[in-house]
Amino acid sequence: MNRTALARRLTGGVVPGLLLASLSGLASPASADAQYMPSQAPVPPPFFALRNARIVTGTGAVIENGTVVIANGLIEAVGADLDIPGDAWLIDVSGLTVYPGLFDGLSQVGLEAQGAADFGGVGGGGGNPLLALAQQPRTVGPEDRPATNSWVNAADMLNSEAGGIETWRSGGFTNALVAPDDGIVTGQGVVVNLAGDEQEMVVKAPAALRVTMSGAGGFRSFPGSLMGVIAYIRQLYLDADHSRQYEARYMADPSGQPRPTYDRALGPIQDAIAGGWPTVMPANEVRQIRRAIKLGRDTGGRPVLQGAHEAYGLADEIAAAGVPVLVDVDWPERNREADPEADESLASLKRRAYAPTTPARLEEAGVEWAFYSGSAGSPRAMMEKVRTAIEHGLSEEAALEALTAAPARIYGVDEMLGSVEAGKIANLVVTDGPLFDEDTDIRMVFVDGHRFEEEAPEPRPTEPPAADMNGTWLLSLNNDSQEATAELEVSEDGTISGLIRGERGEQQITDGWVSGNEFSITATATMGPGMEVEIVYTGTVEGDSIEGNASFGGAGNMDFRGTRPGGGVR
Amino acid sequence: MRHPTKWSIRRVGAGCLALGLAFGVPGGAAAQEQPILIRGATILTAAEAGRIEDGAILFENGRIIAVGSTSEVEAPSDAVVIDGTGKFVTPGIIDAHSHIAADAINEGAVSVSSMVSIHDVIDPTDIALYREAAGGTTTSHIMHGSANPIGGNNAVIKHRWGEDAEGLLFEGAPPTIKFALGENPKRAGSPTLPGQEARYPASRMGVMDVIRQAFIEATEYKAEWDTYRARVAGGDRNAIPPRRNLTMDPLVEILEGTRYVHAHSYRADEILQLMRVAEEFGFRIHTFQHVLEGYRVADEMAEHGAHASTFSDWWAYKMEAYEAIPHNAAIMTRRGVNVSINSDSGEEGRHLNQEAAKTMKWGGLSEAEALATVTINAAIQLMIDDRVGSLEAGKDADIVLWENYPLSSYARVRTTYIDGEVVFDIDADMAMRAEIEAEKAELRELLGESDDPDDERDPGRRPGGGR
Repeated sequence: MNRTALARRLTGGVVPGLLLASLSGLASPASADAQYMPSQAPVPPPFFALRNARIVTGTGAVIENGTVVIANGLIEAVGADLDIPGDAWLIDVSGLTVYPGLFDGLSQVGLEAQGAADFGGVGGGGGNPLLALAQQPRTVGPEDRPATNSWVNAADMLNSEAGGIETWRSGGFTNALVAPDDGIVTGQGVVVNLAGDEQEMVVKAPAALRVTMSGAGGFRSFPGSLMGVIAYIRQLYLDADHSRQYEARYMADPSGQPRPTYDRALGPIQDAIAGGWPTVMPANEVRQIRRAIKLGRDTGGRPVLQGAHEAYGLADEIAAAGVPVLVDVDWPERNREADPEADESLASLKRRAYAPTTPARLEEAGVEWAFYSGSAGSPRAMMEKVRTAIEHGLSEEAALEALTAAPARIYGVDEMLGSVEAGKIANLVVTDGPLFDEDTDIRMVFVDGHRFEEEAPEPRPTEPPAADMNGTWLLSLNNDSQEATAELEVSEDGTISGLIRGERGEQQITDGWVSGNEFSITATATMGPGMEVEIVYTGTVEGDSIEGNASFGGAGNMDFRGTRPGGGVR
Repeated sequence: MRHPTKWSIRRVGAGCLALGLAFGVPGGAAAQEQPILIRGATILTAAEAGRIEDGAILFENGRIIAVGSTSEVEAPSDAVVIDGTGKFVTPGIIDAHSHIAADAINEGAVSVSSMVSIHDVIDPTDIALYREAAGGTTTSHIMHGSANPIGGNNAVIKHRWGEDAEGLLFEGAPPTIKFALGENPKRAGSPTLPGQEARYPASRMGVMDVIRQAFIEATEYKAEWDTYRARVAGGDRNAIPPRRNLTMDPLVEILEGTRYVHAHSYRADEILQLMRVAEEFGFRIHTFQHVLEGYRVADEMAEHGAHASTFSDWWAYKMEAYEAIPHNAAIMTRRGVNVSINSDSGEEGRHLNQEAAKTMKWGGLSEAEALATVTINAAIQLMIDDRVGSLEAGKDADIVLWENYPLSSYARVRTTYIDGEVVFDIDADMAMRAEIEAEKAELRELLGESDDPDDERDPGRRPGGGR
């Protein structure tokens, strides 16, 4: 380390000196930095040296025993034999693996609802939706700029205290491309860090334009149909180009010429064309993919295909078109409302069977592609769906790339993010095992060099079960206001499996144990598409009765009591 | 009988599943592999040759090589020879008015929707493409709806089931556009909500006003561009191009005679009105669609040069469709109008042969005239008659082999060829049903959802996925 670097560090306000924090027990009390609060005045990031790390750099190289030096929010050095700076805070991460922080290719995390333009603003109607619709002003042509929010910048919509940020960060996601959601042109997408205040979060703004091709206004407002939306997008790009030409000519010689009309929708489109902004367009089905590629070609935009569930058979065509792809990890499932007696179509079966092979096909064809969370509502759900793609032939290296370097390249931030390399932003995730293993836990996350520690899971008590919990239990939750039936099965080592049927559907038990007369059962309930809630039942068992507390994904608690009318007979 | 195994693989993708390659994504256009000769059949040519008893037709590389009596037509040695004894051969049927295979039909919020095009929203996966081919239909005019006086741009396609949207397009078919008159564009059937601003127009007068206004604007727009081009041609480097207006561009093409108007219409008065408005601006209404009162103004239509594409005997479904008669097609034909019978429906598009046959019953058209209403006449209306619509050497091999007399309710298609390739064959279809069931079973197994009742309960489960 040279003097300048040292001086920079010293002025960074960190207490110099040798801070040797031995992290033998990883559940040690939170460090000072872990108390870093995003909304407070900026806290200068400390200097860390992660020692004895297995480092998956994301550039192909894996360093089996190396060191990552983090300074001023950046990765200062990575290597096997590094001189560890004297003022660094040493963290021994023996047995742990350091990966680049994960990057969600398209997300809404951290965004507040906007008051953006739709098909004519918000109507009144005194609560009557029909009347409200009738009173909305109509858009009657392209000149009305229907649902065009190209001027909306996601950076202006950030809320650093939004709940999802911490959830995704603790799941290993340090970055996302966040983009507004409303309109035909929803607005400008921004690459964010998932920590810090609203200003600190922004890595690149704007980094993309987002088009949905949806939200058509039926027979009331233009455009009312998909072909109207496509025609409108063409006109919008033509108008942007014409207005750029006209303004240039006018500014050169305004005398005697009508002055150009200000149109807030056109400037960002001009910038997008000139700057080659990636333009995210929905393209799940084969014909949508081909339409998006064609529309991109026709308008001079640079399309990025969003969805790509049917891209498995088009990988070579997409590669030839040179169009990047964002793959929605929320693989198609059979329509839950479908008539169970009805025969599922061949097309639907194919889509379900082959959509998860899309990543493997894109990898083979050499397409630039990244994952995005889609409707997968949690990092856990997302990683599970990424594992599905790996089971369908995707290599783990490509899966990691699609969650790190690839989205960074697509959005033009690959010199700042996407790998563990000196000079890049210190966004890292530290795990206790291979990233894509189901049992791997995340132990630390670094964003801008700030450390966020994840608690190590409590070891499971291993006393032999003092009670037999096998059988069917009747549970009443919170003073009989709700009832449920639990069918439990306990294996010899005390692991509980089974099913809980509540008034709001089934909960699948994902984990559980009984030790002595104490037990814990973790169950997952699906509350809607992609919305899973984890419920943890903890309590004690005494003969044919149990009691305890159920925690609903951190959102609430209920006491429960239960009996086993049939006794302990399977 | 040639058994089109290639077809069953390319079109359906069955059989590749074991290799994990059956992605259901159509490949590129495959050319006809071998010459085909159908001999011994009765051929209804829809051309000058008329009906040929004991006829033969040879086609190769997607084109008709020869049509004549069986003794005249010689087959090359590598030709697949099909015995057509007792069977009939006609040109592929052309549906001049269809709404299948599109993800959108109406851009309904505006009175002039000429900025939109069916080309942008073709859905090549619509099974109607295949089902209509099973009824002998090989070409369709996919039209914008009738919600606006000036509607969107249409697409002419071939029923090349298995191709992508681009591959369906009829190469080189001149561009067309939909107009609409009467109750639909004035929104007679769609009252506005309380407090809602009604869309103009609300009367037949208003419909003509909208069209007239649009062409006044288009004339000005065209003049702007003409001026600009003249300035550029004169060396003016400071000329600023006018704003491209996608709504106006197709109207300029109409004025320049490069885009052809197909106007939805019912009543005699509005048919006359529209021809007069068009003549004001120096263009022609190429074809009146539906045109149920065309029999009243057939002379005027013939004089204007308009074609007519009507229904056989479908009427009284709304006020303006009450004054219809089933003799409409025959009367217009006798008065010198080129008449086609269309479907306007994915159901009717499967038996246009029967619809054509009705003109023999109602109005006494000859067999040749009746067949022409769903073949060569429709081709003339779409200006593709140099390629399709009749069985003549040099034309596309869009050919239907019928089990029995086609202008009959007992008619049944054996094989439909497009560009010489089988798109429907009754035996291959039966075989394909079993292949599809087998493929579905394999997919269910791949998904871990085969007949095991436990799996049925959890249709979202995947092999190795979940817990």
